[in-house]
Amino acid sequence: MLDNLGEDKSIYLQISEMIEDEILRGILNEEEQVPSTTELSKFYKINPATAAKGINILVDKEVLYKKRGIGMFVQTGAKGKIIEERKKNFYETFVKKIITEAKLIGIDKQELKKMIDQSNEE
Amino acid sequence: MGELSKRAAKYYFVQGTKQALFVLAFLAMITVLNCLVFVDGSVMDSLMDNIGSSIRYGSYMIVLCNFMFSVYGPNWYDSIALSLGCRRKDIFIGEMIKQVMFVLSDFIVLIALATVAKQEYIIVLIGFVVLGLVMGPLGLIVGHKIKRIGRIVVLVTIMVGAFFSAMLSNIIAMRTEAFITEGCPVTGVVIGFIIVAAVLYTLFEFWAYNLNKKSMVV
Amino acid sequence: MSILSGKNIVKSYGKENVLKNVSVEIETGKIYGLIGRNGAGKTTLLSILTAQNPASQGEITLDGKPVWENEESLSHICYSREISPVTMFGPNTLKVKEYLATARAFYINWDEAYAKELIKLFNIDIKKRISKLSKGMLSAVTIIVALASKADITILDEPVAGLDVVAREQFYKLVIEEYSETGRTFIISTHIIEEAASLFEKIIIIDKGEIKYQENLDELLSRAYRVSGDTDAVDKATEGFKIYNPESLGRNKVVTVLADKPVESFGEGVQVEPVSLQNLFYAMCMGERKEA
Repeated sequence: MLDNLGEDKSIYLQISEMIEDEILRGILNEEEQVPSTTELSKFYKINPATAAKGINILVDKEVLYKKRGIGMFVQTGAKGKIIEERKKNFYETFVKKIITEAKLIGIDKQELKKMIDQSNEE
Repeated sequence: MGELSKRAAKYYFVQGTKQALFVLAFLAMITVLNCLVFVDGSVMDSLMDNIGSSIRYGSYMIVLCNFMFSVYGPNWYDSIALSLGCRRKDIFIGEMIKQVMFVLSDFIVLIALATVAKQEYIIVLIGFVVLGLVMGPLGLIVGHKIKRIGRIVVLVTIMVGAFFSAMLSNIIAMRTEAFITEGCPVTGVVIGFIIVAAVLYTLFEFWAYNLNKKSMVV
Repeated sequence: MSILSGKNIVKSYGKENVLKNVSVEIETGKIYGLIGRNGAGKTTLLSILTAQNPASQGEITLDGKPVWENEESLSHICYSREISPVTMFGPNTLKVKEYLATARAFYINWDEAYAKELIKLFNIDIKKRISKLSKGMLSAVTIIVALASKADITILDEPVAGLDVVAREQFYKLVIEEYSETGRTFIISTHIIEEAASLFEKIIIIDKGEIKYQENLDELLSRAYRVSGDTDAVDKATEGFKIYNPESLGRNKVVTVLADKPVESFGEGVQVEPVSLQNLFYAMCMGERKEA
């Protein structure tokens, strides 16, 4: 779980991303219950409406679903959906940054490839 | 009468009785002190002698304290009530209830004492009660008016008011004693006094109402 | 949902206009933050909305019915502000328990058990006189009255002034718990902006007697940006936008931008970061520069 919410992104986005991370890491499994809006808001000291917004994004994405009277649960297949989406955004979110920085300090494609190979071995 | 008004009325009713108890306790303390200090024969005799003056002090205090407690109203207790959601109208009525309760409670106790001690100058008490009631709204007006002024002026006003009401009380006491020893207590002057007091009371209440209408939380 | 609305409020003291044609709409069931510099008019606005102070002009209604001297409307509202330790007659010798008893007398939904819990939590000696309380304890009493009133619309004016960090966090937690449980409306004015920002769903920013912004906090922040980089690049990228608090260090320039709607991109050559509410507010106070 996140200890602290950062300044850099809307809080509700941080909440939804944090839950997605936990699903990816296996901290939250499919068909498991997710902390309620109230629990989230109390833990992070945020407005419950903000916590609800974060959860609702995931409901819309069909990563979470609601069991009436009980709470929010992780959808079966949620992990797969998250992976797919993140793969799509991987280039924009991470690769572009590496390339920009590499260009800035003069690391060419070959050096980059070498670094990636090295990391694969570790 | 709505819930809020009822609560306000109850609150002020209780305040009035509390204030009366406070004054009566103080009076009791003075009486006991006096009896013990100036013992002349048995304690019981001393007590009886002192009741007369206690009733007199009590009457002065009705006038004085009603004035003072009212001065405190607009800038303190009423302001707190206002800040806790009470309506101005209910505060106005509340102050009336409080003052009447205060004066009446003291009056009842003093009259009971007077009967027990077989005092004769009940009419004096009534005079003070009437004066005391009039000092109520006058105190409110003073309280409203001194809102804009500093503390020293307030202290001076209270001292002057106290002195003035003490003086007035004394004059009335002396005058009335004079009639009683001379004849029938219910004379034109007494009636005139009551009428003037009633008129003044109404005028002061009216003035206080207008001042209260626009009051703000201090 | 009800609406506490103030329309075209003007408040003047003599020749001075403390509030200039202010209109607000408070939707119930939400937590509002009210921020503004000292003297901006926060307390005046709040006391007018709650009919504790008469407006020079303007209408204040709750659900369409006037608030002024109206029992029905007033019974839904609690405006808790700091009690002064001094009265014009000298120190305020009222005891805390007498003050709380008065609050209990007037607030129809007063929850005495909750009040007792809070008294214990904040460690207040209710036998103490108000004049003898520290600033922190005064704030705590204000908070106790506000929360225990269980009023539908609860307004707190600078509730955390004087509270240490532990007590402040405690307060935020209490508000969230209470809000989660009851959905009561809260309006909180504060100078400790960043700590409280995550509590607010809506934000009202007031400056010199006028309301500058009155909207969802998320939406406001979604169009605020901190643009930095080479001076020329920044100037070019931010042309046409409202710029606040430009700062320079050498050839590096940083500005805060508040756009009318979210901006897709400021172009290459500049770094763009989000802005926190406190930093945005600070930048606004430092002033708008129309030219880059």
